[in-house]
Amino acid sequence: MRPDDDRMNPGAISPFDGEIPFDPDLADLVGELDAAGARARANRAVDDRQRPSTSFELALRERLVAQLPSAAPAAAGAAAPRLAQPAWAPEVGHEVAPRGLAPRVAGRPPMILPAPRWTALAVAAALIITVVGLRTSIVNPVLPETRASAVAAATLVRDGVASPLVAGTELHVGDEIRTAAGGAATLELGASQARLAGASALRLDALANGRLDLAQLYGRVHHRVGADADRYTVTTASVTWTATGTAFDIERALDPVGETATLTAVEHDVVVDGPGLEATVVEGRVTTVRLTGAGGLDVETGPIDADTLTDPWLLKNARLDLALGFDLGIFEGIDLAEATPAPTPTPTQAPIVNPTATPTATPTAAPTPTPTPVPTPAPTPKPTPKPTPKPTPAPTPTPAPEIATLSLSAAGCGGAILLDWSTYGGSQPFNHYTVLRSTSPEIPLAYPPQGGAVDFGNTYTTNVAKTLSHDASATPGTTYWYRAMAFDAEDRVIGASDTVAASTTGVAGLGGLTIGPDVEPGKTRFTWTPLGGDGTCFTYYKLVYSADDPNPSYLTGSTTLYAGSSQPESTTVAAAPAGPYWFRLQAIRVTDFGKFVVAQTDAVQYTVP
Amino acid sequence: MDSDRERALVARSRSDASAFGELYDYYLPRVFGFVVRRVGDRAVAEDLTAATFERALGTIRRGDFRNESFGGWLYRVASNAIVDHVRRGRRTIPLGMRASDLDGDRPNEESIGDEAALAAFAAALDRDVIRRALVALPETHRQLIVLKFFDGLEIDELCAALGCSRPTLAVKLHRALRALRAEIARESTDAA
Repeated sequence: MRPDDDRMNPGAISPFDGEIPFDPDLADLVGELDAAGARARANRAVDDRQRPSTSFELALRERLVAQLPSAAPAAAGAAAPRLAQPAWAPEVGHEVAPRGLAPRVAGRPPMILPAPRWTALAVAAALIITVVGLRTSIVNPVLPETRASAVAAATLVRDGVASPLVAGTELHVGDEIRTAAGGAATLELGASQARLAGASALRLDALANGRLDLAQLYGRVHHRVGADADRYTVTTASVTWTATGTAFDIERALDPVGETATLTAVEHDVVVDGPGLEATVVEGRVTTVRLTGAGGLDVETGPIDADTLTDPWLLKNARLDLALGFDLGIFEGIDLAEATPAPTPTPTQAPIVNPTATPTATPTAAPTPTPTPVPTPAPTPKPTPKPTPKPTPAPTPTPAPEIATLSLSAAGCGGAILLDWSTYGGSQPFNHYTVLRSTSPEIPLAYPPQGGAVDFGNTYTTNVAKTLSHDASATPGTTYWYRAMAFDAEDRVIGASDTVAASTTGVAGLGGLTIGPDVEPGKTRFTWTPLGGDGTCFTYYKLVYSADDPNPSYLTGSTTLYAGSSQPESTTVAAAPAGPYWFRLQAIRVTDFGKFVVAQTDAVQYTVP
Repeated sequence: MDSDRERALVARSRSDASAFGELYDYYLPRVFGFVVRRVGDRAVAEDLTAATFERALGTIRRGDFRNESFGGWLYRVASNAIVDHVRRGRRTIPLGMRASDLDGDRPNEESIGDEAALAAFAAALDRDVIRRALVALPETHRQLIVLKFFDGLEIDELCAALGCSRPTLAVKLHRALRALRAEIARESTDAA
């Protein structure tokens, strides 16, 4: 038998309990390999190059964890999923009895077609009418005005590139909006609105000619359909939810079995459609569809229950609908103010005052300080009740928490302003950071921002160790003032920095990129002017190229040919693919909240031999 | 990580972000180290590591994990990402690699990412004859020895990373070690 003969005694390998069952005479060799491996691992343990950077580790962690639901503590029961109850419980004391209309859940009936000749004629006629009728709208689609509002800790993913979502951003088909845990965003889609709760994501699939197609990827979204939407469809995996002129709420949630989508029909009906499933969910019903699992779609439906009517998220949206003059559906007759859990008012937050309920001041947890106007009389015959004014005792102000000092440095880099603040080390319970921006040095210690300050949207984090961010929305040449603040769970300021000023000059130009064949066959030499500076605004170079994009960029997904973190470097040799390409070298800065282009060369077209 | 705890964390991760966070905290430095030892460049390693964990998150959210080792699955995905990267690297990042390096006994694409790890492991070996023997081994044997002794993968992780059962892994390890011993004997004879 040769020493490396593969044959061996089967008894030597079974059972295999984790130890290597080899011949005893291999023990010395294994010991030597083990010792070498241990030495290598010991060296790795002290080698920083083999450990991920803290900024990368934290940024990736936050991004991934935000896509999963948190296990809500019992005290925060409002965030728990509200699956349909087996029956409405009238003894809970609510006087509003929703209409208990049963949904229709059935398989699609087979269609009986007329004679083939008439069928062909009918199809042809329908095609002609469709083409003639829709040609104008196809050529010139009527697009609703779409933009983001009420944004907090949200990200816009466009063409595969993620960037902070700021209020007022115009939205396009294909855009994906994600909110971090604790964040929020409202998408204005013409007269319709999609309001994203924290840890949610929505993609805009179609936005033309009165048709709004949205894909709810995860999390919870409240959909309020405006009168200008002929068809409003939300897709959750293989199930679509379609409505015309209504309000409904969809929550995708994961459980130990798989994933579910739960719809609450807040006002009017919603048609649900999926493989082997066609149903109408009428107002006042909750329907849960199991999206994953064997044996087709599981459907559970029932009337709303007391939890639904006291759900803070639904109540918040009902108040917004009331302010916008929409019908309230299941919330009609409910005292929205009374049903709201009253948080402790703080000296830094002005409570929202309902002008119709004087002299009572109603503190709310709503992030936007929009005064609630008198509800517009609804066009439907249903009367819209006003919240019953009830006198409440004057709130007892809690003492202002101690405010710890944070340090903040703002460096004007090309393309963005780099913001680096110190970790909060005070004695108050930390909840999150936010950095505010203003064009004046006065930035009040308060949130929502006051006195002309704005939240530019790239600094909210509940991770106390994430303290490096950037403001890529700053206008080049404009001097901005920044103040970093730490907050507790009630948005009270518990740490703050002084205001510091900085400005950016926009993405710097590195001039041309010299490209030519290297002395080594098959290689191409690239030479550029180094970025220079002290390295504050530099993390690495990326040499990118594209066959069809004359403006290739690392941030838009162009192919990377070279990556290097040696800042003074000005030349590299790489094996580029043969053919004509646009090449560009970019200097990139990475922070805890993403990355931005600091400087770049001109895009140079070159044909690689 | 204890396999029972790991399975429990994977099961909880679909509905509890903190469970996924614990898995992430445990495996991120390991997977990053595994990748950076093979690709060399930290920026590239960050991209590949992020892609690995993004895929892990998607798989967890779909509930596709069963009884497989999560860590081993991560290493396998990372290995595939490295191979994909190296394939792209035919036109992207063969930095520092000369054309002559690819001539002669040219390794297949799947092994290129392991070359750096092999070199690092070989450098840690005491005897030159073992270094030469290790380099001379067939790729399948070499890869297994590097994963086991250099990267320090656990048995379950090795099984998942290589897509084989524990008995099969025992056979593979035995074959690799005997082949290494035979190669050492041959190297010693040649030297004499």
